[in-house]
Amino acid sequence: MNCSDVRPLLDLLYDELLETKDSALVLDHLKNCNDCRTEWEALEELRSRIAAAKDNTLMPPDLMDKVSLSLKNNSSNRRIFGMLPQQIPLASIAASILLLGWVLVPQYLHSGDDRQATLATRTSSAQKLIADLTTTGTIAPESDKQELDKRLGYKLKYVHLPSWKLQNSGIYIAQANIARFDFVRDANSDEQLSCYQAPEGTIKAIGNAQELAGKQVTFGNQSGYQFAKWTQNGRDYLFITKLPKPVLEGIIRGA
Amino acid sequence: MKFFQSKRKQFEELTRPFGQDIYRLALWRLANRQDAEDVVQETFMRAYRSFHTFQKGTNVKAWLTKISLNVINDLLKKKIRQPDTVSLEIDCDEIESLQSDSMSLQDPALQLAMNEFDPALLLTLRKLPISLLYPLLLRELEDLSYEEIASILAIPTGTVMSRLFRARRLVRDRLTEHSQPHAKQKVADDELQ
Repeated sequence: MNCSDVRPLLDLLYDELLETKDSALVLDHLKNCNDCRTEWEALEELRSRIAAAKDNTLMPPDLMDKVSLSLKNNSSNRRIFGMLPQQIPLASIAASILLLGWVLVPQYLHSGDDRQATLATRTSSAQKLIADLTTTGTIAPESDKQELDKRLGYKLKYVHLPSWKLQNSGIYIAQANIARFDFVRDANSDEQLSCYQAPEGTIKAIGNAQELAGKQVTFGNQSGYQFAKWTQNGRDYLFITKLPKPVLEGIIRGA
Repeated sequence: MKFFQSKRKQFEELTRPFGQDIYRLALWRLANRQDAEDVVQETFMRAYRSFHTFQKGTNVKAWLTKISLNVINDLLKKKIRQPDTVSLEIDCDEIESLQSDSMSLQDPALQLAMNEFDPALLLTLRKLPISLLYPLLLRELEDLSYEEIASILAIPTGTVMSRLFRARRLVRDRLTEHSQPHAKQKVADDELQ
């Protein structure tokens, strides 16, 4: 082995990547070659110098606690939609989430024709939404919560739906400010629930009003679907399902 | 809520042991303790946000390191407003170091850091081209394998080997030069041409 063979191998020896046989050959050469030995010693000196400096770069002892706190705060903020839908299937746990709405403020319904005309393109009815359930292409999928917020122009608020799993989320096309979320009960069930959310005053619903779990809920049915609509915290919520009304009531109570 | 808590716990258990490594890498790259702390924070936040993409059983440290290098680069871009010079995506053999001597010497945080560990070594590293610096730091500081470095920097393993070879000799020559201030200009500088 001559110097030109050995030089490229010094780094491999230095990184302990040479096989024993080759290491022995290189080390044997180093014993007899001053130039290569100098090169080798320089590498070793560099490593020891870096190792010494490395020991002096210690992280502040409380830094990881700060990181934990940030993660905790982040988790709280993202508990709503942020991790949907990828995480939801894994979360057979507390299920999750959301909903939306914006419907017609009652006084608008009874105000003058001009005002109604202005709002006509900004609102939708439960009946229209039910009709769209049976058609395809009525929802623009968007799984990222922040992106969905941005496209909708308002922040979605969530409700918990224990034991339900999110299948689809997006924007209801007929009204760009109405979001829709489709849920199934579990993997082995065909029980479905469609949930809409929009700014208060967007979703109209005509039916029987009743108080349920502290909410003024309007119930109704159409084409075999039950629906329930209420307004809460500046949002209109509309749930639509083929499940019987008592089951729908139970979902709203637990939401 | 339980789901999110357990997910966070799982994430922390997996990643927390590497906080020191990320901090050290950032400090050596940026020579500023506050920046290094910010990098650690941001790295873990980004990693948590993309935790669902992490494949169990793969190398956590390499995954975090890759994220941290992106965070570091973003920070540098923001600071020096020379975004094209710090991209990991390009073949950066020709890339010059981001920091000039004058810039380094005017930075009080850097001076503080230099006083805490080998100043000559730090200055020498800061003069290295990025293409040589990262393989060197990942190997010497982080003890990552050639394959892991190749994966993180998105370059072939052979390139990692050749860049390490060049980096070590360049650092060695410059340290020698540093200890012999009146010596002639070293051939090492030619390696950057």
